[in-house]
Amino acid sequence: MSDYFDRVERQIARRVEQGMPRSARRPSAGGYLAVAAGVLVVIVVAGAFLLARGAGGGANPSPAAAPGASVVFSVSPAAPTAVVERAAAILRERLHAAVPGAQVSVQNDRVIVTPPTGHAAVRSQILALAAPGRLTFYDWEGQVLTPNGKTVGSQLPSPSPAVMDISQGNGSAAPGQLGAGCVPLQQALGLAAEAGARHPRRTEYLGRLKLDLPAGYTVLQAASSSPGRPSDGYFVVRGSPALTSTQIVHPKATTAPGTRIPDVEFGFTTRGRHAFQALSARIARRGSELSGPGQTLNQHFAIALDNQLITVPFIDFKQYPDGINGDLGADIAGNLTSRSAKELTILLRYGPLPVNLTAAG
Amino acid sequence: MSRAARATDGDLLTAVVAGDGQAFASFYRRHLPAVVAFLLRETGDREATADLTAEVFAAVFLVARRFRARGAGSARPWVLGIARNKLRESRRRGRIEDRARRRLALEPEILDDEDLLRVDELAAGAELPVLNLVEQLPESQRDAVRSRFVEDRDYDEIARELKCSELVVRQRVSRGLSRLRNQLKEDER
Repeated sequence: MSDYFDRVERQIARRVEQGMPRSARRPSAGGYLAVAAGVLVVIVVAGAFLLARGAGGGANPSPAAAPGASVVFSVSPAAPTAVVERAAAILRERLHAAVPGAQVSVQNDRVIVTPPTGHAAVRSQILALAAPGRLTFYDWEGQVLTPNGKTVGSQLPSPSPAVMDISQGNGSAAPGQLGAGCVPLQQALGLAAEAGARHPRRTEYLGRLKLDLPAGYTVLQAASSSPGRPSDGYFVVRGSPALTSTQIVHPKATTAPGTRIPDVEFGFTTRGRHAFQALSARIARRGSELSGPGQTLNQHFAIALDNQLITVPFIDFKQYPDGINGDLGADIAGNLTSRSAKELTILLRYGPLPVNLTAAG
Repeated sequence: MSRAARATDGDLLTAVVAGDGQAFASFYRRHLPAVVAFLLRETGDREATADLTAEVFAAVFLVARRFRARGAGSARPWVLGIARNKLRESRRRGRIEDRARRRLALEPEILDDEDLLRVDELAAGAELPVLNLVEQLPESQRDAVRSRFVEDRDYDEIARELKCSELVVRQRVSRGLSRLRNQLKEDER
């Protein structure tokens, strides 16, 4: 005899055997957070590319840097030896996971990596893993500025294309992408300087660029719409990130059951769970308040790695009116290769570097 | 004793994470009566109990990897915690929670009269010694202990509901727990 409880048991047991469906594993940047898949693919490819050049050495090994040659990194900003040693220790851990046999040492406040011999692709891996590795989450509309110095969220709904492009994207670009309301670097720096004129200045790094910015303002590089090409568009955000790498735990490179597409899943610390729930709830509430009959204005959050946007997914306020429970963590999905997923996982697992490392040559 | 019967809850949930449907079935059968009994007592509604039970076990699968076993410790408090959260969420939203079932794309199951009788049978067969003892506490202590530990509510909220001071609630909880401890010690002898 089969009663209700037997039928429930069989249904769930069947799901167990099928493996956790992609959409069930984590509230996902590619699933629940409902980024258009095509956009995410492009963004993540861009992210992978940026990872590869994150240390500033360029994606392609220079002719002088043959496989097996040491890679010398200068440190910025200048830091006490103890801080440089800590950066070297983190880099050592990262490399140990991906390039066994690589030696990391500190000499004259430079970090030197000597790779194992006979490993053809090792330089690009070293460069990828020497990226700062700071993952940040922002309330997109709540923090991103338009050229008039106001946040997008404070102006919605709006007939202004500048506002709507940043918030909702347009026919050719999704939010956060090149072409969706971003501006050239000089204009972004001017906007930040003007909006934060009364704030003290500080130095921030964006790849190889050293930026002079008012405290509390960050310039984010737009996600590229052309895989393999860095974007030359920028956004300015005001305020601190809602979540950072330090609130991420247990990152894991994995593949979606069924599709076998590589992705990176992770959980949140207790504080991170609360922050993620609060962030998504705030965004959902704003989406609900701004939307009316016949017009849905979904609101977004942004995920950036080392101030380079990876993805700007929206929160479906109809499905998650109270935000997304962070208990299940999240994942970054898309057209990651198994290698770039592993590299991103390593960056998240060992935490961000306390300084930036720039490869010579 | 079968292998499944010998396995700890931690073993079963580890196997569930690895995709073992049989392990899930064993875990489900082990904890089903307790979950049903808990939900029936809280809701007093057999249909809601059946519906929420399915939701609780769907959630168990989704969060199985988060279970941290302590030795051969039972997952019963963990499962009942999920049940309590689902119940609270349902009350807050004014409808039965179904998020986990939607995530797993489970088909809705129709309840008939026999299923509703089965709810009563399962609840009657549940082994919830501590919760049963809670029910035997004097009324004032029972309400305070249930509100605090079964429903996981704050002292100030309980005080408002019971129309007494927070200090009084704390005293009632303390006395109730003391009585429960003594009762459990006697039962162990």
